[in-house]
Amino acid sequence: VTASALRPIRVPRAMAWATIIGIVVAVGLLGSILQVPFLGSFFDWLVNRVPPLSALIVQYAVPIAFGALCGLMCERSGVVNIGIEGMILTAAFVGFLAGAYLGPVLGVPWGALAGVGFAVLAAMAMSALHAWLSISIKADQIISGTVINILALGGTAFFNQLLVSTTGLSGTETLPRLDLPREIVSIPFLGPVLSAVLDQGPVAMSLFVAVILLQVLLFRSRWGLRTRAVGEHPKAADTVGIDVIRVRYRNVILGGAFAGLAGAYLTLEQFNSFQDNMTGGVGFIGLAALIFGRYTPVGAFGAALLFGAVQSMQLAVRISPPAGDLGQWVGTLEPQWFGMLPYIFTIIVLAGVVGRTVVPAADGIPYDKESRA
Amino acid sequence: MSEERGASSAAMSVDPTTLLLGGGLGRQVAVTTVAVVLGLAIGAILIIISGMLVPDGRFDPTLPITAYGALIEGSLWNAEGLNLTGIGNALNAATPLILTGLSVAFGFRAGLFNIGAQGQFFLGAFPFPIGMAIAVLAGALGGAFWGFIPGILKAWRGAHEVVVTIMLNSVAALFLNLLASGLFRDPGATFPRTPDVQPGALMPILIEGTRLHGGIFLALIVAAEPERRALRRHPASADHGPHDEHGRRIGRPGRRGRDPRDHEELPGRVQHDVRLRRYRRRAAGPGASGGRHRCCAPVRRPSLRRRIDAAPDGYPGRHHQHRPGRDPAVRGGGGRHPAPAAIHALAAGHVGHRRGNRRGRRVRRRA
Repeated sequence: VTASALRPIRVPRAMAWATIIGIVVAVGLLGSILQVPFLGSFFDWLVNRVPPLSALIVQYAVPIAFGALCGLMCERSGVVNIGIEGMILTAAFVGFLAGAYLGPVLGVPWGALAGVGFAVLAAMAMSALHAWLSISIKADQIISGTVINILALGGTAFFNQLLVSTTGLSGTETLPRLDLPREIVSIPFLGPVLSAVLDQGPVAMSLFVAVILLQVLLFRSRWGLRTRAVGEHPKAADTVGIDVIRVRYRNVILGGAFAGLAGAYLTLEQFNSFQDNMTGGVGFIGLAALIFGRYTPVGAFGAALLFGAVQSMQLAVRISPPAGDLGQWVGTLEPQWFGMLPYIFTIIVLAGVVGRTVVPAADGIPYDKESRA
Repeated sequence: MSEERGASSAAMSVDPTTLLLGGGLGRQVAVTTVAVVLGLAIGAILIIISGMLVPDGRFDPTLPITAYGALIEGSLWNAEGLNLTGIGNALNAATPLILTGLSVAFGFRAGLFNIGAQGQFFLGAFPFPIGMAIAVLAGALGGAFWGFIPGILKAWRGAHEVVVTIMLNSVAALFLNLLASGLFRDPGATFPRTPDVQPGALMPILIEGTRLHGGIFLALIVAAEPERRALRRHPASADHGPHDEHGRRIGRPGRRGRDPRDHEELPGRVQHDVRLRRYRRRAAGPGASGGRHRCCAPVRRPSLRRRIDAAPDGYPGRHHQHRPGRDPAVRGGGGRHPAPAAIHALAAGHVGHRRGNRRGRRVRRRA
């Protein structure tokens, strides 16, 4: 089991994905040829209306993917992190405050960039708390994460009421976004891909770098090997001279930086203001994406794209509604159904995939140097 | 493999109620008191900070005293004496908290974290315009169904119960929003809400002028029952020392609870012991503890007579079954094989029973 978990890419899985995509395409073609109700208009919508929205999908996927990377750093080194949501929320609030207060002082891009810095620091502070509780104190890691979630939810709402609502702080400057000309976006095949990658701000672009960097580092570097060793078999790692506690601390706190970027993205790039509980479960969905992505950065990113697509569904059907019978049916649906969609999708994914995912063996078990076994 | 890991990590997590209740009454009271005092202290700090942050605010250390004074005045005691209205409303507010807390405690006892009690609470709270008893039952069923989803997914698929319940919280909130603004919407209301519950379905009001209703008794009765049962079934849970998830005492025999390391090494030890015990139990079959763990024997071992009668080859015990040539499912394998007279004599109670030392453990003879 250990060996298979350490191996990054397996060929049969790629073949399985190719098969699934092939089946989907075949069903779509058959559906449109045979004029099956809903199926034809659905695939028409998927092929013709959705690709121009690829930038939107990525924008919904960014916080999920950053949350998943935060979870990856923690869980690969053997610490369960259920408090990603709280870390993102704290970072979003602190980033918003810093951006709003420093924006007028530092000028247009620098105020927001300083906000990103503060957001990252805030999330790292929260994850340091989680690290201390779960590594040194050896508290139950689920409770520690839940404490962080509740603390963040209550704390940000409290200070939001206090600092923003009463002082009339309206919004912050957002980070500049690279807007691709429409001609490039309308190129078939290449256009949507370019738009998804380049129609973004700096934080979203840093995600692509982070995913690739983490994938390489986790499976090809000394740090990665140590991290995986500590997450799989801390006793063995300790025997060969790796400081388990230190590796775990470092990874959990560094993972917090990713949660900080997710929060900064929410208030400084996607929106320009903070609302109570504005994350709306993004951290948990990120955790599900991590599990769905089999605890690899690239897998988690792919899963986050899927979750982002589901999350952006509500906006997508409003921006470019599907044609035909599907369009009529979608028009009759209440918005709450679309709101439930990502959560239900998360549950389905968790129920369908978890049994076959190899979790790091020492995940959630505090390391005790003196313990037997 | 991942199943096994899931099981071990679930067994690993220390039952929080054991941590809280595992130290006798004195420790329980101490832990609770410290928690409440700490909560009040942090609240006081927040009150002072918020006093400084509001427009033209200033540093005022007496602010928490004023605030907590107002809290007591509003809910307990004021200048005119006992504040009945306040007490009634406080108890009223406590009722759903007691019941929700119970639902979480129930999950903890099973070693699971039921963070989604809020969503289950939401769904249970949906008023149905029928008689009160039916309404309460329907509410309970609604909540139970919502709790059933993460339960079955955990048991069947190993889905992470924390994430699933939190996702279900959001789904429940949105779903009820949908119902309240669509199917069950009060036609006269300006914002999405359901019509009032009919008077026949409402709990009787206990004190005039307050909202305190009979639900508090329901909460108290329900709260008392599982606690009584839990203590009866797990007498060890009122004991010092580490316990595994079933409330069994673990650790070194003879010095359980006396060695401070028994407390310190709890997680690793719990995991190790639980795994070992589970393995042994599985290897030995149901009821193999022979009722020695009387508080929590999962299945009582049937009597020797019954085991002889139930065994396909007439021999009790696992090591006799599936012998080549003796399996009735195999052609020519023979059906029921008459057991030797000695075993029948044992079953009839003529001879003392001493089991062989099969699993390398000392098995004490029972009277």
